[in-house]
Amino acid sequence: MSLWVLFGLFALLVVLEVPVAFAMGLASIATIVFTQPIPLSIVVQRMGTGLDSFVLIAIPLFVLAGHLLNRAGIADRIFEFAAALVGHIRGGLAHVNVVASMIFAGMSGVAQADAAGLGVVEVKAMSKEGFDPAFAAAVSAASAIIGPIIPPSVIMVVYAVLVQVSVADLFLAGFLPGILMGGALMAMIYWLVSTGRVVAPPTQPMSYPRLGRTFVRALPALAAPILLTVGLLAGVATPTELGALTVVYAAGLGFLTRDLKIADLIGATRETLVTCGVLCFIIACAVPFGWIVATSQAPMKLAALMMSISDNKYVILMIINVALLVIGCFMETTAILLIATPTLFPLIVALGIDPVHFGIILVVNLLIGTLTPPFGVILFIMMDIAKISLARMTRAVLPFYIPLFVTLMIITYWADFVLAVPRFFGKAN
Amino acid sequence: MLARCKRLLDRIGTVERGLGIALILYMVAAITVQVFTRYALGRPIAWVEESATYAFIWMSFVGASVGLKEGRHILIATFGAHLSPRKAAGMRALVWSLVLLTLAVLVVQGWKVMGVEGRSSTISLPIELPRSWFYSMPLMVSSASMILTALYLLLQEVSVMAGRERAGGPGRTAAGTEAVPL
Repeated sequence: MSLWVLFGLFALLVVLEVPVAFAMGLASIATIVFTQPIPLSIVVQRMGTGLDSFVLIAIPLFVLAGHLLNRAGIADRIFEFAAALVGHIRGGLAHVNVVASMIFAGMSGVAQADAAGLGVVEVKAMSKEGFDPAFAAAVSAASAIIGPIIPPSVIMVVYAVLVQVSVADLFLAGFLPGILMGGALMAMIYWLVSTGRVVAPPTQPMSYPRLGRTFVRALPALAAPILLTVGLLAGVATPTELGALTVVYAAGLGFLTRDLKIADLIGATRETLVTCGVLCFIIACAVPFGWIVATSQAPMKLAALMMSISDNKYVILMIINVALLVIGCFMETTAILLIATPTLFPLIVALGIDPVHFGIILVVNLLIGTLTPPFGVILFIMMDIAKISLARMTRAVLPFYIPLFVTLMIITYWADFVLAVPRFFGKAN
Repeated sequence: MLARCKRLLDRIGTVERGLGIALILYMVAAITVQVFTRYALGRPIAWVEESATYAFIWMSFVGASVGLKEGRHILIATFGAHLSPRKAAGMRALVWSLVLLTLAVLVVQGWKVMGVEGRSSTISLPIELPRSWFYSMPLMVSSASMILTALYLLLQEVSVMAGRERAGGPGRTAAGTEAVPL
């Protein structure tokens, strides 16, 4: 009964266009008032203490680092380097777009920052060279979601806190899936161009002097992901501490190259305040919501129900993937993560699935959800940048669902691949 | 009258932004110093981590309040865009009323919780402070501030419904959505 009230009211409020955080808060309040014999003060208690986590501080730190690197003109340098590296492959700047996003992913933890920062540079450069703006926007959108798969990743931090696993393990497990996704997108671009489905301008031949020159120019930018990766692998600092060090590095670099002024630092911090305030408020509101779900024993019942359908973990993972992809078309990513994780986790434990492996499946799945209409945040950002309609944007993105789904399937069914890096560095079982 | 409310909200917003920015910069500085003292001096300062966490909680709630002022709270655009300006204003008025109801509950319950939480104090800070200062108080303060903002937004929609002002509330993007950083 209580869950019907909780989810029913939440859905109704979301349809009425109540902001997601308040919809969660009000649905939790109403459920407690009408169905639970407990004091309402539990909502406030849970919300306040729900954010009491040193791990969560990594969120504003990585968001700020991303903003600072964006403002320090790093996107251009990375794009030039990626152009020298893969610009000669058939499909030219489309491949450059993917590689630049993969490098940028090593410093930014949010897909929106990648789409809104690097995306502008990418769409402009590709359109100027003669690509269809819709295709340019589609490649930028699809590659932007690599951002939170290759560490750092804000969404992984939230998941890690929810299920109490190591953020470092999750970050390390994101490397190979991120690279795989980039490779799969590039393969699709190559196929689209070589079969004449997309018209691509002729490419420039490979030039090693140019590669060397652009590498040196991009080196300060490349040092940020290297610093983070080495820090994670060596285990010298926690992800939160590495976030703070990346901010200091990005600010120091910006001031040194004079690309960054005090006003930019303040602007980037103000932007971080709002984006993180909104995100963390959703997290806070989701704590009492998740608590009601957990105490209703529903996750246990769901686990039992699913196990009665099949005790094959691959079948169940497929059902979960399909369900989440469908929900991802209509719902906001953070909200799904915050609701799905506590609901599904007992089932995952019962099936003996590694929580780090499941985290990566969940993250990749939910990020694909940011690219699916009618509610796809990345689609909205890119259609705004490229000045095209949602219908045109969706049509252009369509072929890229194939490499994304293939990546999701490989990640889902090949746990050893996902866990190879954390295992190699002795950080996971 | 609406213009006067707006000026008051702007002033509160300026204070909140200043506080939020200071808290974020404090977190960066404190955690960097923590790493430095651990490696250079061989002993971390015990209270830094706890204080950074409290700064984070305050930042989150203050940021949420600024987010409401800037119309940045994420929502899913459904049918609002297809309604006539007056009906859309009516729908948004209902939304802000529901938001007000939520916030009112948070303030009232927050007041009750503060008393209980205030009986225990912080763990490692140099001075002992009531824990409520870092859990229920930031939630209450930000909820109170958000009540003022939501009231303003409600009044604005009501005046649109009454035909006194043009439709289209502040801070709404064309798509009706805002990006949450993920």
